[in-house]
Amino acid sequence: MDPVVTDANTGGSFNRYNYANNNPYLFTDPDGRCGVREGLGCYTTVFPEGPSDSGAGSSSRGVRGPSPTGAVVGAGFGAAVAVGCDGITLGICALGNPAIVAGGAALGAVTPAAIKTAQKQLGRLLNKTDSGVPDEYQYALVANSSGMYPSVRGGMVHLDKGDVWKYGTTYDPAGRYSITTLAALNVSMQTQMRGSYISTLIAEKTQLIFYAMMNGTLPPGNSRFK
Amino acid sequence: MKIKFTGMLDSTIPDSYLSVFERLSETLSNALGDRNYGALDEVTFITVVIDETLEENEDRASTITNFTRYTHPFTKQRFRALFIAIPFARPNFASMDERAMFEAVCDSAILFVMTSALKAPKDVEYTRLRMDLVEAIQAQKNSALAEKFFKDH
Repeated sequence: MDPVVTDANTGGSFNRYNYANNNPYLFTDPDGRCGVREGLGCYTTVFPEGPSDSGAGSSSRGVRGPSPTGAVVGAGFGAAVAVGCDGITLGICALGNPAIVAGGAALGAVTPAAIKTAQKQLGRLLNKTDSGVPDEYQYALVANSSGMYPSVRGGMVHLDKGDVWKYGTTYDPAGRYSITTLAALNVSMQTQMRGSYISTLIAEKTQLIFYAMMNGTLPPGNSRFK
Repeated sequence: MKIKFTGMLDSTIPDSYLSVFERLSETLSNALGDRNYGALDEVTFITVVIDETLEENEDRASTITNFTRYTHPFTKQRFRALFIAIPFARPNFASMDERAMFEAVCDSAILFVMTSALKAPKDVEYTRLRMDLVEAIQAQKNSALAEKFFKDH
């Protein structure tokens, strides 16, 4: 029996005989379950669950956003509350969350359409090639302690210790911009992956999509899907 | 004056470093919060554990450590700060439990403050700041260990 289950939302893996995401130039498929890109782990072209093992560093701590009970305050946010969603129930979650459906963009919430667009962009990134020189980092900025943190979309957001404030990429983690941000905002930088320019962009976008699916919004430090 | 502890760390480092930073930032800011050392608003210690070896992390740390001024990205307020980067080798730091991490960060911070040859601006009382920092970090280290704040594993 084929252990790979079709994704009901996206149709991913519907074709039971798909090999290496139909792109053997970029992917291999050693166990027949998913396409693997070197250094990035398991991917399917439609991103159902992110990388499954090594590489992009997706982990439970990597997607923690504002706590579901945490108040989201500030003029722009109004009464919006960060609601935990997951990839499978995203549609139901979005319908059940007025902040996402009604004027979601203004409130900082992410619409399913925006996630779909980001997934398409991710697909395009997966088909790009670059130098392969591992001189970039994909990082997360995480809250050093529980409290209120500014959002780039306006207002303040409550984060628990260890929650992600921002995902990003940089070629120099010790650069002045990074250090100033760490000092000013009481966050730490976790370098989650080192790789080529394109591979770090893929890792960043993967993290952002996964975060949005889990939390219904982007991290407070990200203004948009990059 | 405010004392902050933060870091640039590889994702393999266990989350326990957050408790270490939180404890040190709180207790040292309480201890030195009402003191004035001239034209200085804050001292930020930045733990650097990105690369495998100590030497690589030392290279990064050397570009960070300095007296500087920066603008808060949201409030646009200007701060006069001393950034002190303290590097560790990644495998070494990743294998530490919370208590060992706390001791290592305290010891490295003390060692840097005692031995650094940083040139301070004329309007900063760096000698007095150094003495007070060493004394405060040592005191916080002793009290945290005495009250068994950090768990042994």
